Amino acid sequence: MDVIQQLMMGFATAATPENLLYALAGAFIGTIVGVLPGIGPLGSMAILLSFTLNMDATTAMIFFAGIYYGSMYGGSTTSILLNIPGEAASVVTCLDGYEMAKKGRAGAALTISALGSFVAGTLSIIGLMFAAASLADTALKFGPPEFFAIGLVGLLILVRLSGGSLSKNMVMVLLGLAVSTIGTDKLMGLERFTFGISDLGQGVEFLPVAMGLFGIAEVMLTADEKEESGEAIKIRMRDLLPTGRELKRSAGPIFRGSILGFLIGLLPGPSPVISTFVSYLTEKKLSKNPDEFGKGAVEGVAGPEAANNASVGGAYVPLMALGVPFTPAMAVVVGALMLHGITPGPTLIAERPELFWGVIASMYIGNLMLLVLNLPLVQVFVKITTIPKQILLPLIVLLCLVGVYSVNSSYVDLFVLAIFGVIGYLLRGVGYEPAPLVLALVIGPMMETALRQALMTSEGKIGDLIFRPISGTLYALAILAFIIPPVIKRIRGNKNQNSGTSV
Amino acid sequence: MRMKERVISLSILVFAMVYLAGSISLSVGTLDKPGPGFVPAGVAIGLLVVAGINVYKAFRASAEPTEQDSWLKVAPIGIAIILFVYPIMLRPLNFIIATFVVLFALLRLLKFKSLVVSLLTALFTTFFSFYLFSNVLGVVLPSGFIEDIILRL
Repeated sequence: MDVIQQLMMGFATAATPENLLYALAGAFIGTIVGVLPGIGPLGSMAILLSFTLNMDATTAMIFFAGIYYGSMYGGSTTSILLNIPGEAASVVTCLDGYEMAKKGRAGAALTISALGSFVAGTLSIIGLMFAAASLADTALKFGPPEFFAIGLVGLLILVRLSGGSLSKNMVMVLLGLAVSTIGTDKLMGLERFTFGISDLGQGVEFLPVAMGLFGIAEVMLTADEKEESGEAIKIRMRDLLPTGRELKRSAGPIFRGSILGFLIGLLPGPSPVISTFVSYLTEKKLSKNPDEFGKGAVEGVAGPEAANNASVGGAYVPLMALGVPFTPAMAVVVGALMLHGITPGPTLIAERPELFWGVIASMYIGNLMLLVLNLPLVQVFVKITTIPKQILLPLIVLLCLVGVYSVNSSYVDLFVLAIFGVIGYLLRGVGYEPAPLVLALVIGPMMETALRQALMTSEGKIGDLIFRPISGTLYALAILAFIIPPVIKRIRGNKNQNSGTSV
Repeated sequence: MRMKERVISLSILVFAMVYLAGSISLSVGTLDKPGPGFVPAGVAIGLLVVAGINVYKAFRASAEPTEQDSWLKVAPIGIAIILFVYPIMLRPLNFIIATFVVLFALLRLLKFKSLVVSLLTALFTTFFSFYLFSNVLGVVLPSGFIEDIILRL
């Protein structure tokens, strides 16, 4: 079957009334999540994970895909109208989006943002279709050394890209790996660090850890903050149309943002956030009028908004092709697949084509739904931000508690949620990022099994693990990722010093 | 912030030591026959080294106390207590009563309007959430006679 035929099959799967309804529900919930500061796509997907148990696996994936890219759309609305980013990936949009709004171009900024997101979403889906399918074919030849290399290199790049202190990110990765060793050892059947608690025999569940570190910790941090409220700028339907000049100026940034976003999305870490910054800086460098940036340049909205949406498609590639999630939100998607008895990996596309192509097709449909949904309902979404935190926070806590309990009906999971909520609150307060811990927890068991199998097969020769074409290339890339940035920084520092002394 | 950072980095270092001891007590094995303690021991050594670096960094920096240094913040501590109490209450009291108590406590902690409004909001949210999760979404929640009555309605 060629790509077109498979895509048609995907559309047939996605276009059933049930799947269409869940795509719309996901997109709608995602937009709300994007509008509300604090919850984020990860938190909301984690909360809703247990509720996907009653759905078919494909429907659950369609629902989650809708939430993920819906949140990217939604984040821009409050950035433009209130100067409050609903999502970290929308922070950059505030810079020029709010300035455009102050000049009476809020409608145009929202339309450009929605159009950019739509075009980027569509382009990244095309990229996902081809990249995932061909990468999965290649990955069928991977053995334990390659899978260990992918996991290790992914975590190392994550440490580099997560922002903040390298040593703190490394601590979080190692803590995640440590937590992943709790439970029964898969190769020998021996219990490790369970302290006689039978519920821990299967290991520490990913869901209570993720919801604790992200959801509960966020609630605890927000409970302490003063309420932020901005003056929403009102717009009328007729103000939504951008001018021809604005559209022309946006075309290039949208296209470049789509490519950049997709490529950055392939990397581990907070790719939607990084892609917006890279796109903004690229557009500023390429612009004939860089002084306009920060004062309402339409390119500053179009590029980053396209980039953060395109990164969603990119993030799906390693998950669908290798079964390795590179972002915490993708780790929740893995959790959902596993709840339905599906282990993601290179054989997923071949074994469950209806799932892969159904999700792809639903993304096209979902992007169109978001375009239609978002623009007329802009004022409704803005109203949501006025819900007081005294109501919102208890509701998030309730959703976390029920969400965690409902998966295994386990009281231990509720304690794990509380413990990681407190740990997340304390660690985030002093600059430790939770994402590396969560990803290490998910990838850890796969890495451990792969490493031990590889060592046993090679009779303990570490060289056999490293000096292989794919593993060797990956390790070389990881080393470069660690060496190049400090070298560039040092060279730049020396240059500045020299120019300073010469002046 | 500095004091918090020192305490947290030291705690991670202590955890790394305990975890290393636990890992060694499992069978570590050899390179060609790695045992259940092989990966945990490697992770523990790595953690010990990096946590040590963080402790060094935290203690090298000046320790001027700041406003953020305070550990005694009512709302986060209250939320933490409520979260730990919930699973203890859930088994004997079942969903409706345990959830009502938790929601009411959270609303009061966050200073939501008056006592009566908090009470009514917690009551409504509890019943609505039970109906939504149990009846609409099919989640199996701990049930007693109150829950049974609602399910029969």
